[in-house]
Amino acid sequence: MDADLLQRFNPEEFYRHFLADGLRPDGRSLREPRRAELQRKALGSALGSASLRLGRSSALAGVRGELDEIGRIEVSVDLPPLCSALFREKHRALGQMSFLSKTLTEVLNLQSVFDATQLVCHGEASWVLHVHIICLNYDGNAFDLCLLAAIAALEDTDLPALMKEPGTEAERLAIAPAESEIVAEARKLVLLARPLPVTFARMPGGQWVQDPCAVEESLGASVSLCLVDGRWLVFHQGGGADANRFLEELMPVARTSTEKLAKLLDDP
Amino acid sequence: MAMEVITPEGFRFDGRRVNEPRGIQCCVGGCGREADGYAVFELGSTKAVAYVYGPMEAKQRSQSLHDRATLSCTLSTATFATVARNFGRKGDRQSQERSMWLQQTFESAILLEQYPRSQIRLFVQVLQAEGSPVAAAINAATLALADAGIPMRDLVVACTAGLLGRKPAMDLSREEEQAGGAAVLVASLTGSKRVSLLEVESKVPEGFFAPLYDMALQGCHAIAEQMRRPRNPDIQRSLCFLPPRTCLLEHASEGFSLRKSRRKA
Repeated sequence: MDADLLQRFNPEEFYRHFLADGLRPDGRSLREPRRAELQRKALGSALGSASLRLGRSSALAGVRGELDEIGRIEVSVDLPPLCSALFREKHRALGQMSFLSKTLTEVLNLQSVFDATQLVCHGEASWVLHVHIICLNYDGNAFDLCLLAAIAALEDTDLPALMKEPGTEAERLAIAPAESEIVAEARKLVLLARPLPVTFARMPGGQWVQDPCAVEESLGASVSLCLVDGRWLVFHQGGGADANRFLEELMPVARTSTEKLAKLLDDP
Repeated sequence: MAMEVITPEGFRFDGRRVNEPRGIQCCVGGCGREADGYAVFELGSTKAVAYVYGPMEAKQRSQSLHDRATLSCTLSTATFATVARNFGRKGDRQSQERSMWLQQTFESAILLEQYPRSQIRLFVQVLQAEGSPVAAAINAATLALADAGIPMRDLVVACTAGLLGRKPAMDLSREEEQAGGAAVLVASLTGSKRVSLLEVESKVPEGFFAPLYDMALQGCHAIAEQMRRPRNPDIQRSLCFLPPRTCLLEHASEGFSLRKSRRKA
């Protein structure tokens, strides 16, 4: 049978041929992530922004701020129908979108990751940072892609200086133009620790491959490990609860991988 | 509020003259895209990215016509694109209406009768709206359609024009749009000089419509001329959100040789 036909109609069998030799169809070995490329300050209109490519997956994150009583980070992830033929019907992406939005919000608001007191401006008011992530091309591993893009965008964020809005009875704050009476200084956002994600997918033969593409994701369950301040968080996707048995084996691989990711984010 | 919008020397707020569009950058196609056609278009700092899927078989019977293809257009604006607070509002009136404009524009430009019983899907995402977002969206869409190889009567190019004080000026920036003068949006088939879309959302004072319209049309031609020029690969690389061609080609060829050797075995 022709290789292309086999790939299309029986991807499991197709993959089995490659995995037997310890290789994947795109030329990677089992524990090899795709090439990551980061671009900071991708947009001018947001407080902070970054675009990230992970192989053929690509996402754009932008941070916007508003003032509220409780300072926090809110993440929303969008996998629009334009990013892949898989999401041609909108409802197919909804589950993944809400999983990603909820999980990333939780991870980034962890006390060990982000100190919310730095968002306090003046009196009661505090910044609420909305991190919006749009996936521009989807080829698997949205978790790593979105989390890394969110971190890069937050690290790029500058909180603007604020002043009391003139002519209002109630205390209202507004972004201060130069040479006005500032009540809250401009400052850069700081993350205490970077959560660094590594995702594995289970292949039909029982092997685990790192940084799965869309086809590999569709073949089996995947598990995302996230290193936060020396501790691991584990997220199962697609019913991979028995992954716990393999964690011992995956963690050393993940650890070396997170070191590389840290280097990518450090690189100016 | 009376504001001096054009200096006595004839310069605008951002240093352009009235008959100058903003700088244009574009990137067509890309390696590893999911879509059949892909383009990024930048008009000053307004940025739009367009995706074309198709022509393909329509999923639902109701979406297919026996004598021509159907076209569906979706224009959406990223939440961080504008200053306005519009968190989590999807499919709002404005996007729906703008999607309709896109649809009308391209239905007259694409040779839909070439693909009976099929469907073409066009998605445009505005990533940064710093004035004339719809014009940038239309231009991005044209390039993406060209990248997908879908036959069109001509390149459709759009441009806005508006009154600054009492003078018509082309390609409004965000500040100029917000100043509230009359503005028109024109999309034109540049070769045949026919107009496929004309939108006027504000009141135009008597006697000013013709000069505004001419100015917008002139803008379309200026932009089209720049779009047809060969592009700088370095700029394309920094603009395009997809992986650069070289790295993936290596990757792909590696996979290909593996597959070949596999087949021999």
